[in-house]
Amino acid sequence: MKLNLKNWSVILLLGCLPLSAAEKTKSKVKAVPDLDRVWTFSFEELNMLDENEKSEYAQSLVQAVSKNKVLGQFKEATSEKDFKTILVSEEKWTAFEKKMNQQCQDKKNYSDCDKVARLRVDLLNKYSTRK
Amino acid sequence: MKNIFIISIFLISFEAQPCMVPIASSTMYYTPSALRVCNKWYYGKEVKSKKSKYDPVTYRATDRVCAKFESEVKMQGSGRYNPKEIYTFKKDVVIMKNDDKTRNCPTTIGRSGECMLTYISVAADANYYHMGDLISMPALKGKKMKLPDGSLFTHPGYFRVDDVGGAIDGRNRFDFYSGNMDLYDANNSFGYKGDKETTMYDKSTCQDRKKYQILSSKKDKETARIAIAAAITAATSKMSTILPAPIRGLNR
Repeated sequence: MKLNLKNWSVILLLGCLPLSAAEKTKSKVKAVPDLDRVWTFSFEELNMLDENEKSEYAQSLVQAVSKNKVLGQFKEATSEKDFKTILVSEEKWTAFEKKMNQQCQDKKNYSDCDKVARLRVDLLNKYSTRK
Repeated sequence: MKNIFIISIFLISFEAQPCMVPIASSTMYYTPSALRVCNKWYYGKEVKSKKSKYDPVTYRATDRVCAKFESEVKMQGSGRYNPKEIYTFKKDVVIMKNDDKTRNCPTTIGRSGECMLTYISVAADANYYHMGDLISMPALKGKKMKLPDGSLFTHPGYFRVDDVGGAIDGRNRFDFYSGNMDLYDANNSFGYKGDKETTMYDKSTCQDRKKYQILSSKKDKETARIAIAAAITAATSKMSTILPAPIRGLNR
């Protein structure tokens, strides 16, 4: 078998084509992210957390809210003590969840709200027994 | 020879793309059972604490499990140490779970806090799903799935999001739970030896049978819950169960 320069260029071209196609798809995905996402816990989900997890969530949410102007709209989460009263009431939590969806989803504050959405996801992943 | 070389370069550079919504990019996972993997349950030994004579606490020294079980638990996340305990690794430290929920659940407890159901529970991306969300996959409805003891379970066509996982990434990415049956188990309908219409192990096969829908209305969710409960009851009444076979009837 003899491979000349022409054959090598064909091989290289064929090899590189799918790679560049994959890269294009990747960049497309990055350009239009799927933003219709879950921003916080549902009340049902909240009830499955143990006290330490709830406390960890409250602490990190209050911290995130204090550092961000957009998230600062969540007045309920300005103090950990006040926020803990919301965590135990279905009515109050549902109202807070609705407000968060409006502020994050409807008003398209995606990048600011990403921080609070991540708090939930990280907490779920951190204490998961699944890898 | 030259053609083979070209094809191999082409294949190496090809990267499998995930399926497009609403077709599920599916894989499967399971809970290894020490009895199936090592041919025995482990119980450990109860040892008195030597910290202080005033310290009445007793603790358990865990048995050294067989290497295969250890590696499978590391891969899957958790495993059954004995009928009442779950064995988990967190940063290479063994954690034994032995609470009421674990004792009453023959599989494992998902992140939803619910007992994982074979062929029904799925792990999904928490960015898009709440734990407990219900998903319908109509093509699976009525399909006969094999249980660990070889008997059949009629699938209701619904799944429940019970778990999360670091590698489960994207709206249509699901990891389907197959109880304690691994990928190669002859009875695992989601695995290699499963029927073409039920296998879920290959995330790059984007077939119409994997079309799914997230249930949002209360009515649809209630219908799904009833169908799941009915399918489980029917399987249980046939003297089989969707729970892992070796655990049934075993009480310590």
